[in-house]
Amino acid sequence: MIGSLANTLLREIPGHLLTGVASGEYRVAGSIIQSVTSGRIVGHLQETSALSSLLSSGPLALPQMALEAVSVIQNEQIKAAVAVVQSLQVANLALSGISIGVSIAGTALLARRISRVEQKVDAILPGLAAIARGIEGLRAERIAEDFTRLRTLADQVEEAWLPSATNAEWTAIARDSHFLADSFERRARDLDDASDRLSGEPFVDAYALASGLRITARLAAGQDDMARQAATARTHTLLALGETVRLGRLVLAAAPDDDVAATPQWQERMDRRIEDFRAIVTSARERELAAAASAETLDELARQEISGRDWLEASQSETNSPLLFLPVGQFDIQGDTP
Amino acid sequence: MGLFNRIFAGHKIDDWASDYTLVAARTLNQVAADLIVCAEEEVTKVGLKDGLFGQAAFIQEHVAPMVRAVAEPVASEILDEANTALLELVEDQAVWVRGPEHSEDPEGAFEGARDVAAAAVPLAAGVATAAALPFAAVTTTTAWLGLVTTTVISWPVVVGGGALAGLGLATGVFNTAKIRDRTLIRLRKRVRRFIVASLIEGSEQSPSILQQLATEFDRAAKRAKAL
Repeated sequence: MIGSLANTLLREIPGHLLTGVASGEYRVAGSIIQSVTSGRIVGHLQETSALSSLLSSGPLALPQMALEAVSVIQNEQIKAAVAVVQSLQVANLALSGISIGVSIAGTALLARRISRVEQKVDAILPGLAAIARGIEGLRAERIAEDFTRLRTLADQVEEAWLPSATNAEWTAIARDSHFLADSFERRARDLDDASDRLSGEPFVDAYALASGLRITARLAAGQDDMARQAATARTHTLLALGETVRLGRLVLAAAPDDDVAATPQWQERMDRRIEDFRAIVTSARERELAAAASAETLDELARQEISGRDWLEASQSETNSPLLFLPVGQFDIQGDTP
Repeated sequence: MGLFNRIFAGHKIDDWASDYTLVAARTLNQVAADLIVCAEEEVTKVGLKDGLFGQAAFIQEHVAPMVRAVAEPVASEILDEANTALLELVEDQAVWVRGPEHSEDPEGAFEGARDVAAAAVPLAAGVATAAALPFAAVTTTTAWLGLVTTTVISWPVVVGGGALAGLGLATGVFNTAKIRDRTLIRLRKRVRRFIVASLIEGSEQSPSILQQLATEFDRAAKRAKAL
């Protein structure tokens, strides 16, 4: 059910693109499918309610969950959907809260995501006690309060889709989530200034989630220009917050004592640190790319004169295909892209 | 280039800086280990007098030139390889901007990519000069870590030990072989500290080759991304 966009959106990813992604000719970055050789963006992906149903039916690790689900349900359609999601590796995007229409992922998924981020924050708080004493925003009760507000906003997004809701609801959500995003961003920056950079990472995640709600709310309210501006601003903020998250720099800063320098033990310890930091750095880079991809998708919607509200409604009403596909420019569904 | 591609390209450049920082770390750690072994040959030739009273001179005359002779070409080689990789990276991006995803001034974008390529070229000279600085400092000034260490930290130990040993020699109490052994242990530690400080872990005032290379890679990445 993709309504007014039936002539614009595809409910299936063209086969040659799936093959191309598998062969390395194309790659998926955030919500974008891009040619590896030319850098050309060939299309945009949008997760649907069908994907959130798939992801909600099990643990967060999609491949394992999906196989379990399939073994029980034995449904060919679900198998096909799972295969597409797996081959494009977009499950993490849906779960990150950075994609467009974060609420499409469903309140349950969003709540799980918020909880995970809050757990990360809880884990770092004891180590930050000394710093937190001097920074009002880092007090545990203030942080807990903001996570509660974030959960409330996620619930309100769900309510705002109901027929009796008005644009005023969306505008209120956009404003509140904007404020909340700024609060999380400030904490990340405070920690950046006061301690090692990685302490602020969970707050960067929280910032990304809150600003995702803001973008969704602006789109749903029909304020596409404001949504685009918010998406671009989020990308730049994430880039700025991630500026110091560089593998080489982090590893050198945590280099072993020079007692073991010039020995194989020094290199072994460095290798362990490289592995420790690599996951964090990769996650930060993926987050930045996903945010940039969302901004790019919103620009493409404007170019194709598709309203954000229609886009969200199409993805929300789609219950069979896990992903919708928006081709870019002249697109030959059979295989040749200009 | 659109925002997305610009960020993607920026990530590649950051990865480049990180990769070569870690390559430099691995390589210089190995070089430091090899140099310590090489220096050992020189250490065993040191006489009792030089071992007791001329450790700083020994490092300046025997170890520093050896470190310089080995480390400079290694640093240059890492830089050459890094520059080549950066240029390849930029050329790939130039291909991207020749066929941009949207009609966004492709010529202008390509000019920017060419600027990045051009910016990478003088990097080698810049970094090589920076990397060479500590070694130049050895012969021109005492402001380098090795010499500061010699002057400020180690001298009292050497003087104290030397005075005590001198007394021992005069009175015939100490076994000279034992004194020499201890002296050489101290010298070895000092040689090791010198090599590690030169190559891997310097100070803020006198960064090691590795620290300088890492800074230069970061600076080059920032410059390339800004163009």
